[in-house]
Amino acid sequence: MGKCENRRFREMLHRYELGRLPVEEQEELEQHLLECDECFQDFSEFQATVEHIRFSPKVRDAIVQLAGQEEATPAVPKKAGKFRPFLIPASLITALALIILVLNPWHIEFRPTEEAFAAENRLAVLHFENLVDHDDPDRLGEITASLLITDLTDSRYIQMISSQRLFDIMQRLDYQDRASSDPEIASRIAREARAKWLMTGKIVQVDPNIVITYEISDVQDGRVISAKRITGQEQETIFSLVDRITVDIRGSVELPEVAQEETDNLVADITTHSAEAYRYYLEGVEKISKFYTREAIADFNQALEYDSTFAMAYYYLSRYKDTDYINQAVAYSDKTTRLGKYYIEGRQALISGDAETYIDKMKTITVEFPDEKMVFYDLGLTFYERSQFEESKDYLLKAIEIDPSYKGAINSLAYAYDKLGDFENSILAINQYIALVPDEPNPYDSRGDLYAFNGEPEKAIESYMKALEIKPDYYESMRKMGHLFLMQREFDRALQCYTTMLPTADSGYYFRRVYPVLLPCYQGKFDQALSDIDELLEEQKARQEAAGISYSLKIKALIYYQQGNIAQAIDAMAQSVETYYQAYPSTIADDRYLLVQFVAESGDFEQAALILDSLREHLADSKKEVFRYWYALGVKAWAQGEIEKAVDALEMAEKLSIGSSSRFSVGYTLGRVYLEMGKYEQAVAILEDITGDYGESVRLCVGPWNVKSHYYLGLAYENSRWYQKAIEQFQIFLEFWDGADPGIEEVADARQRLERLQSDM
Amino acid sequence: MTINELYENARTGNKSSEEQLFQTLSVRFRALVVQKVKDYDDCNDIVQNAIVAISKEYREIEITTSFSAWAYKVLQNRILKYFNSNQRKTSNEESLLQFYVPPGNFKPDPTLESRLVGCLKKISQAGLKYARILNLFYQGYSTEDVCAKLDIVPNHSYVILSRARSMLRLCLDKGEIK
Repeated sequence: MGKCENRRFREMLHRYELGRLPVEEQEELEQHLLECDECFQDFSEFQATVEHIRFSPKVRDAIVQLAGQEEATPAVPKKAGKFRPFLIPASLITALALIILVLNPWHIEFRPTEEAFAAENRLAVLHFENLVDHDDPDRLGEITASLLITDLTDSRYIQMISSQRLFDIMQRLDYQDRASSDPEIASRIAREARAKWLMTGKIVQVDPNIVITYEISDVQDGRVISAKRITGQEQETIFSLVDRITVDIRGSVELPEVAQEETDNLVADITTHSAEAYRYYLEGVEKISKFYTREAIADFNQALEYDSTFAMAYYYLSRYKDTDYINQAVAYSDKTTRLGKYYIEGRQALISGDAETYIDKMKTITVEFPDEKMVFYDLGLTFYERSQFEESKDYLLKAIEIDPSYKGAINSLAYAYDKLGDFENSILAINQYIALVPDEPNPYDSRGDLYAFNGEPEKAIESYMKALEIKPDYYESMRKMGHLFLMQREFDRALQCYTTMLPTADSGYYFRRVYPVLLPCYQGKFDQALSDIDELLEEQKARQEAAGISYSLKIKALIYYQQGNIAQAIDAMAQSVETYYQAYPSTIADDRYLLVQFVAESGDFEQAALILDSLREHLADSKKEVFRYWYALGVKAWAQGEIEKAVDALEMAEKLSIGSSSRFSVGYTLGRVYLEMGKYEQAVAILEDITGDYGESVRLCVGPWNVKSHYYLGLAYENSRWYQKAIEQFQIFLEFWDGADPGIEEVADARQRLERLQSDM
Repeated sequence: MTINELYENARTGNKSSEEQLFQTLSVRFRALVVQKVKDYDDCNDIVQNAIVAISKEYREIEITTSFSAWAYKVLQNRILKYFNSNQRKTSNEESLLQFYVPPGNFKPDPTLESRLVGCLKKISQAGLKYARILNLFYQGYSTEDVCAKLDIVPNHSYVILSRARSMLRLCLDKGEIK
């Protein structure tokens, strides 16, 4: 010994040769022996000896003499001999294989056949029943089924029906508690899922080793194809047992011969080697389906505590926590299924701004995994994000076609209808969602959003409250309700919502801490707001909370801008952009468009043009965010007195910003330009539109503009001779800023106008 | 070159690397299969099947892990299929290694044979149980059976086996057991 430099493998080798290595380590070592010349040399030195002890007649004769006949006798009588005349030389095998490859181009001619098999050979694996503990606190039954499905997911010859799909069917048929124990129900579920085969199983022992029984049957005639009891070794994990079971599945169900040639990865290699990590992962996925995002994130983080290489946990975190997690997901994407890899690669493309590649990947999944409802859902969301609401609606409807009770898709469909201006269908969809899961908070949260988008803040608040009744810590609703109270000038109730959200010191804490600072801003108390923000910035900087820092700086910039401190506004906005960009270099939606506005209004058109150029280059490939460039072009032209050019650019920006959370700023500025041009009708239309949308948006952080939109709408009404409406808007404006810092011109002007209008009425 | 490097070269059409790759794989696969399958000819059969499968697919298939990991999986599948089709238990299940077959096409090395016989004699002189355990273990008796025959507990059997192997290695290397 001694040539093998890796101490761990060296020690493992010794135990391996003695047959004392646990299965997982054994597999790890064997793979290493294939890779490592030194270790293999160490290992192979003794192999000839072992073979001679085992096979050499001369050695065996010697043993007979030494120890007696009994011990020279093999453990079990000999089996029927087989004739194996020679070992085919490797080069010849290769040549044969090459001919086969030339004659039968796998990916072209055989592919339709593969798909035909996949469509036909559908296997449903129900959760295994845990007979040891029916409550199954460790979710071993679910984990076993899920791992089996995952292990066979990549097969081109067996189409696995996903856990989610089976769960959906069980829930729809109200069978979730009895599925695996009642053969009739199991069979009904399998038929619903259009499965050819059904697999059910039981965990009959957990300690000291796992013992599983399972049965595979033909759904049509009920014939049992395979029924086995499999006993794990002591310390053998569920992953290893699953690998053994999948081999049996492949051998038991009728598949073409070529299916046996498929690569069958170790399930632990395409998921995780940790049962705890897998359990947390499954819990996270389940919570995502209920929109318990915060809790799901905690689960995915827990999964990574147990296995820091768990690619799909990173994938979900990249979706629901921080896009940067996609880098780890990509780094470990070898440890996932083909399906998982498509998702990761697609998401990576999406995050880097390559939406076309993302869509291509997702469409590939729709072809290869036609039951994968999540991909239709994702495509629906993607087109929604791209403001292509018609396409979004179509994909979401396809997802719902696969699973009529697909909550996420129904939820998003409601938003898509809303964006298409079909409020009726939007509310219909959301009510279906509520009927489906009346005890979950998200449907009520979504209904609140839809009311908020459509100028019904009171109904929205009522709906958010219902969500919070169900789940008091459902902070999504709490936050939105706080914002609505803020915009309704109910400052105390807004503060109550924001402070209720604060005790949870998760990663979003220092971002949420910004909200209370908005209150003085919305009350026109800018000096206090600046002081509060500076204090908060200290905390955020100490914690290196980039998103929070950037957000605080942006609010600060807008306050300086309101105060007429343009140089400080530029400085704060530049810092905000830079901070965000450094933390999230792949971001597309940055705030440079506002920086252009401030710089241009300071009279530095040359610098504004430079930033504008950089923005144009930055947004060249982004259909969704390109409105920022048009906005910047418009405000620069406005600052330069080129008002016609300004209005053209801003109208383009407004058109392109539909569906964007930044649309408020665009509409606000366009409204002001219309006012300056005397286009009061257009000013009323756009300002009514943006002030009537109470949906959560960037509107919130542009506090002074948010408040002043009522002032400008008042002006637009007044000039349009809609005096009563003008009075209402000036009153709203003054309700916000009645106790504001002294010297705000708009406040004085609004008071005068209001007095005059009221006396004239 | 490692097999992963050989694979990379072979994929680009390097015939020499391809040949070397499959030769290396054959040798290593065989060494692993022998650990689990006690039929000399079946070992060769499994290795052949695995090699054929790899040679068919390795150029076309998208390998998501390393080549060696993929190749190992192919081999594992062949071994599991073998046990499955023969309705035998794998070496990892209870009553491991419950069958034995004659040497088939095994071709002994006379020099090694002689040295081995000499060493086994020396080892049995140091303690018969050492020679017996080597024999029983490599003939495929389960730990339980070995313990029953030698009247020892499992942990003790591993200690004895470990010492016996060390003596055998030393003897083959130096001609002595101490």
